[in-house]
Amino acid sequence: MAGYKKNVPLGTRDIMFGEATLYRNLRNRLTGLYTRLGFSEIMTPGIEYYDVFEAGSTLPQESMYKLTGSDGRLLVMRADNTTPIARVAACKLPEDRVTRLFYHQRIYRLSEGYKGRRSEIMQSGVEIIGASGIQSDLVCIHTALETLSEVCGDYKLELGHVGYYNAMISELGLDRELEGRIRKLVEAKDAGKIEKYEKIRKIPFLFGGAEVFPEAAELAKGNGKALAALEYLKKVYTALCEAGYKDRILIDLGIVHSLDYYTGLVIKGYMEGAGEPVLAGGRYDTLVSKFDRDMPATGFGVNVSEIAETLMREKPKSEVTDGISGEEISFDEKSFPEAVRYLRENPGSCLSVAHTENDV
Amino acid sequence: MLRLALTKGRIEEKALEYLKESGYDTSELDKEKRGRKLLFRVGNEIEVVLAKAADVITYVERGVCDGGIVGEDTIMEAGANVYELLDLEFGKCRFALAGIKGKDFYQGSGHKIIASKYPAVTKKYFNEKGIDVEVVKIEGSVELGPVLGLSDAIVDIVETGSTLKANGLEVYEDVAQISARFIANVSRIKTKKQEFDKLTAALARTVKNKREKCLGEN
Repeated sequence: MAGYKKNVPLGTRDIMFGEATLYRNLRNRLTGLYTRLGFSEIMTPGIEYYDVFEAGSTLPQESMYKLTGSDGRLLVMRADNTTPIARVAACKLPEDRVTRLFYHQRIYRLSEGYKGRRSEIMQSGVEIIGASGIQSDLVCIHTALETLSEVCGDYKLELGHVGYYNAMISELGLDRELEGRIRKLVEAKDAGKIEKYEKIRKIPFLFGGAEVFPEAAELAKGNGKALAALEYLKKVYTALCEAGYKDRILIDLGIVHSLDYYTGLVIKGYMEGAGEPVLAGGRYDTLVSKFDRDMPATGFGVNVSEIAETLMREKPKSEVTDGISGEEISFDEKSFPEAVRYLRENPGSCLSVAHTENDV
Repeated sequence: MLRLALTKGRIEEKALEYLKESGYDTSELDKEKRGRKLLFRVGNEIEVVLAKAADVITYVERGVCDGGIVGEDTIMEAGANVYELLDLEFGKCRFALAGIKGKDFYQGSGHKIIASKYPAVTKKYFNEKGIDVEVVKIEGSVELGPVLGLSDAIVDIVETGSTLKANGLEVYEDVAQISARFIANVSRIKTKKQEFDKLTAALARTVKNKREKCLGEN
């Protein structure tokens, strides 16, 4: 039986040559950007206790890779980056100051097979922990915009605010189950099925530019909470426009995914040619409290795998290259010391390795 | 330019009729002209791909097509992460739970087996009802499940119900209503907003016209 010894698991891939260089370049450029903008790097374990994700994440259990630890407890291969960072924030970060973190780490997601979905994703991102309010929101969004501009070419960043939808739906006083069903329909922009709820069925289409604000305000007339959320969003939008990002910014009040997780402003980044959003994030003021310490926070993750694959699609497929750009020095065991001396004096050159058949 | 994936067969025929009525030139897809091609131009703004239903979802989800037209049944079974922009109101049918005529499906506490071409839809339906069932996937003529004694019931698409009747089965209850949908990739709808707005509005007008015409005739 051949087994699977020559295969990689579905949804993973070997990355080499030009593509590996591209991944490294993206990572280096983002590291440069985040360092300049005042963030420090964090690395968390590749495996975590299942308890961490059960407490902090809204991911369904079936989308996590699980294994058993040496103590017999259930472990999860890092299923997202923000949850472990929230654990760190609650247990290890100073409580009385703002911490800005960035990361480049792979995440693992189990998904139904043969649909071309990834199960291993290279993700970069930032988290700003210990600050609420418009200042930290603007820093987060500015960093997101600069991220997209650094690595994506043509891009758009979309802003939303979960407070708007939450206020509109709670006005109706529906039971949790019905509310959940409606949220799914709004998320899929499937307005046709939200028959009775005239206002809610318009929300999926509240997306676009500044023209969305008056429409949304009209719809929310009399709902103070919804109007307040809208007002806040408009303030942020105006500040960003005046800073020169007008052409890059969209509004979508129908972003309702992961409502249990996000508590305020939400963002999504889109790249020309990509098949899914390449950046997602927002304010998550209640996540850290799942680990028993109250700390407001905001941040975003970047799907570097999707960006790299989109960039690769535009270029010819990665070619097999020998990676040698400078002078190649042939040598044998006698001339090896001399070759090493030459190498020291001539940076950029390298030692040659001849291809040999296995018959020596 | 928008690239759309259309579900081959009945949905494709209807979809083309709707596109044509919405003012798009679908002549490249005329049966006598199309030959063995799979990629067509519809006017200057749309490119059309013909594909099997489940593949329409895969293409749109992966972003190799910007949008598509596919039945709600396929979307439900795939658990697809796509936007459903418009109910096109054709290809109407329903998912139903059916079994041997006259039997009470919910009676008794034994292990229940459901045969279906749509295991995900079936599992989710009973999960939400809080009932534990075993789903057996059958590729065709699901009606044989209860007839041969493989399963207690089936979950399948029912249009007229005549196949059920001919085999001594009946509908126990409806699971979901189904029709054809205009779907979009979640990223492309943002990067190609104007193109999507235009097509969605045109299709919505046609859907409305057809509905009114239909009401008028009745």
